[in-house]
Amino acid sequence: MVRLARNGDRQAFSELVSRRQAWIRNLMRRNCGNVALADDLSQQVFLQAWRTLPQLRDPARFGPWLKRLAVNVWLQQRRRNDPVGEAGEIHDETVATVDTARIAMDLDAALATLADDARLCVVLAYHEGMTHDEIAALTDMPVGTVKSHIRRGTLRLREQLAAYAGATGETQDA
Amino acid sequence: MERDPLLQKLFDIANHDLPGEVFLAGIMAEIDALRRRAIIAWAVAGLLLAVAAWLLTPVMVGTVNAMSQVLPRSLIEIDRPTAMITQVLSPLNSVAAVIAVTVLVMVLAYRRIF
Repeated sequence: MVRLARNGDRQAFSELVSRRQAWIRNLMRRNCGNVALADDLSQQVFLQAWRTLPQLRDPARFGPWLKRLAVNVWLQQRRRNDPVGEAGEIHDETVATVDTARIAMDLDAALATLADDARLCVVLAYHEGMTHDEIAALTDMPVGTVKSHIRRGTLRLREQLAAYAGATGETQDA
Repeated sequence: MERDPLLQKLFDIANHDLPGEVFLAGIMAEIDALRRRAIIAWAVAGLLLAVAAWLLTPVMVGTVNAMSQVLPRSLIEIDRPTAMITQVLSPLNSVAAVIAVTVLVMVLAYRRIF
């Protein structure tokens, strides 16, 4: 599929977007906490992927490559310091349950209280399941800084989302 | 790497599947627009190139003709063109050789100075 898309096959690329869109959009939502902006940025990620896909040598590395593109798009957005309010009209087509939507909103609200770098590290750790070393390599931050961001960010989120302890069955799982 | 179980669970729940029809349609429309823009850009570039070639060809042909007549012209007329010394020095005895040597000297001088 990636090979076909790399050769300019529109249908193959459409299938790739279909399969990966939820992952990238959720990653962006956790990072920026704004549905419309997250979708705009996700669109940028896929358009950039379409333009630069011929440069991808190993089709098996498409996932990590796309993740790197997404993180770079988010970092560029932060550097531009675009106000979140300028994002386009909201087209939230989520069909998630009310509970899921509420949890996502609360999580995004709690994440929004973290500094940009800390939020990115926490999201990459929890949303992407990346290790400290992987996050450091992806974001060009020192490993010690990444660890510190994740530790402090986790504590802060834990305080803000303490109401969910027990409600999600954490006590049984932990 | 140790992760907080509550946060991990909340991230997993929040990471729900999103229907992507509208999103996908937006991206594919944008890709089609990019393709159209690329085709138009290439067409315009080709047209400009053709016009430029059409306008400049006579000038370029004239310049090349003039140069081809001037460059091989001998600087010093020699009475015995078949003599050995004349044959050996003939590559240097031309306008082209003088220009080439001048450029070479200027390049060397430039490198020496700067």
